[in-house]
Amino acid sequence: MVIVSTIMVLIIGAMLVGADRDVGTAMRETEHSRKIIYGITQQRFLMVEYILHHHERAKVQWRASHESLARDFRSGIPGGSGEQVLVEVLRERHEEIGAAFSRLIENHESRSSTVDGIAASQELEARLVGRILDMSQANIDSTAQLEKLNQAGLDDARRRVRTLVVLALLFMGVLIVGSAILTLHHILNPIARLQRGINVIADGDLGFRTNIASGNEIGALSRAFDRMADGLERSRAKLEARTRQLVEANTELESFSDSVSHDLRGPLRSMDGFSLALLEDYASRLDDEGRDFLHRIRAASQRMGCLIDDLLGLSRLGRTELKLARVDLSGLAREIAASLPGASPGRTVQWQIDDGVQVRADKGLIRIAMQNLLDNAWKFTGKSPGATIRVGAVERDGEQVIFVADNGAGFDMAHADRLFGAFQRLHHARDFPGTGIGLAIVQRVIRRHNGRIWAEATEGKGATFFFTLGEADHDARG
Amino acid sequence: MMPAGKAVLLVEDDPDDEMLTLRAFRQSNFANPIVVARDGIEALDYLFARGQYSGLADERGPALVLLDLKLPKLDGLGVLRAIRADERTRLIPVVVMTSSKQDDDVIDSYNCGANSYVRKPIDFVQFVAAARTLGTYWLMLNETPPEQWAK
Repeated sequence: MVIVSTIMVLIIGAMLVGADRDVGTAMRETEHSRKIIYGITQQRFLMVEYILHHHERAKVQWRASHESLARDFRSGIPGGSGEQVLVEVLRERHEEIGAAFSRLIENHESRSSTVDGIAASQELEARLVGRILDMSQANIDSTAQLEKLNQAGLDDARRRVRTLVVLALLFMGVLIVGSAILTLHHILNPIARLQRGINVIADGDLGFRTNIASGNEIGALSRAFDRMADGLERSRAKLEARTRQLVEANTELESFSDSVSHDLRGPLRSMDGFSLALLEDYASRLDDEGRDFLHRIRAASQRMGCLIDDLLGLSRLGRTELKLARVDLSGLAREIAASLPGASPGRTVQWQIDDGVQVRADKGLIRIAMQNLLDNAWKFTGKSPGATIRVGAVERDGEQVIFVADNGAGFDMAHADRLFGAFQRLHHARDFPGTGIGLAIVQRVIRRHNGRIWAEATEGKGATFFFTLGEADHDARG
Repeated sequence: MMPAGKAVLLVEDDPDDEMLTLRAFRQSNFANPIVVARDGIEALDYLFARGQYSGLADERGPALVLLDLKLPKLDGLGVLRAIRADERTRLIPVVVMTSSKQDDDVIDSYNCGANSYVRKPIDFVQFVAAARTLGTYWLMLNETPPEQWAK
């Protein structure tokens, strides 16, 4: 493209330069012809002057003019063959004129003073003059003809310049349109396709390929883009396979925990049932210690039953589908709080529940979470006089943060990382009974809502649990 | 002491659970004899008087079936389907008694025609209370359809 354009520009340029030189040459030749016509005319005047006065000056001037004209003929720029012939004729005539003028002079200077001699001399002079005038007229005509030829050459050269300029303009137009089309085809279209590919892939369809094969930078970029899409597709396939395996493993684990909890309950029932049977039927054969052992066996069986039930509840949290709705958390907290004094009568707790706390959450799950948090607060303020439990919401970094604060036993922040693990306990069971699953359940509920949970506490002074409920726009199983 | 009525069929494969259930019913003072089947096939043999029970000419069938779900040979749901599919047994009250409280099990049981679903408590005191409640309701309070309707 570039090479062809350059060659074309060079050719047109060279032709223009040539045509311009031809115009110059033709104009110079015209000038030359005019000079010759002027010289011939001057010579005719000088000859007339000489014939009239026979001044030596006129003769010398005529000869000088003749010499000058001869030079002009010699330096005549050779044009076509027609012009060559004309110039040759001009030269020959010029020499003849020179010869005739010499005879004219000779005739004048050698004339006898006799009447006959004068008459003869005058007659010869008249003939020579007539001849010279004829030939010079013929030379003027020939020169005019030469000029006409030159004029034709000039016109031709001018026409050529015009044609070339038009041609150059046309070529430039073609070049501009062509480069516009090429730009569109090789750059703008591929860029548009690339942009479409980016949008398609951004929307999640990783199957899109640009397939632009051009060798320019856009082509290289497109191929890099396609390679990237290949990589993305491969890694997504890998991810999907792994997710499938995880889901399968999760399902297996769930059915495993279901069947384990089912199968574990049978032996526990036997332990409890037969311990009770011993206590009922063989009480008289046992001393106090023996009866105490049996009571311990029963208590342990029932505690393990609670553990299994809680564990099953935890594994089930991940399976229920999230149904998001607006939940009046203040009302929910009051409802739970009202149910708590019944669980351990004789306790007084001051409840401070902020009004109008609203969240977007699964009502069933958030109730489980709040129940566990308030149960905990209630439990861990059990030994604190003037127990106070606060529930409210604050705004942090544009995010709603719910908190449940108590002034109970608190805990050492050094163990805060173990707080939300299943079966993790930071207190002795004899001080604060429980299975150690409550906070694990709370954390799982919050995570399913794409939220976060954390706690701040001082040992002996109380604990505050904070949580956020994220957008929960997709069902994150956790 | 209640008058000895029709039998109660207990379908239970675990010997401990069998003993404890019998004990619970005994403590609840029901006079109905309790027949124990230890797998699903045995339960159906009893109900349809086949196999080892072929000599049994109990046309009236049991007053109540206490059915565990996890059973050898034929599971509880299979037994339940067979009971509901047969003209002779389809109106017998069946109470599913099991350790599981999985939603699927509960739904499947009711879909197959269970009259009640009870989860066996671990605490034997509660177990006895449950057995007493069940017996009181199904053997005494509940009215069964007249005999001719069962045919």
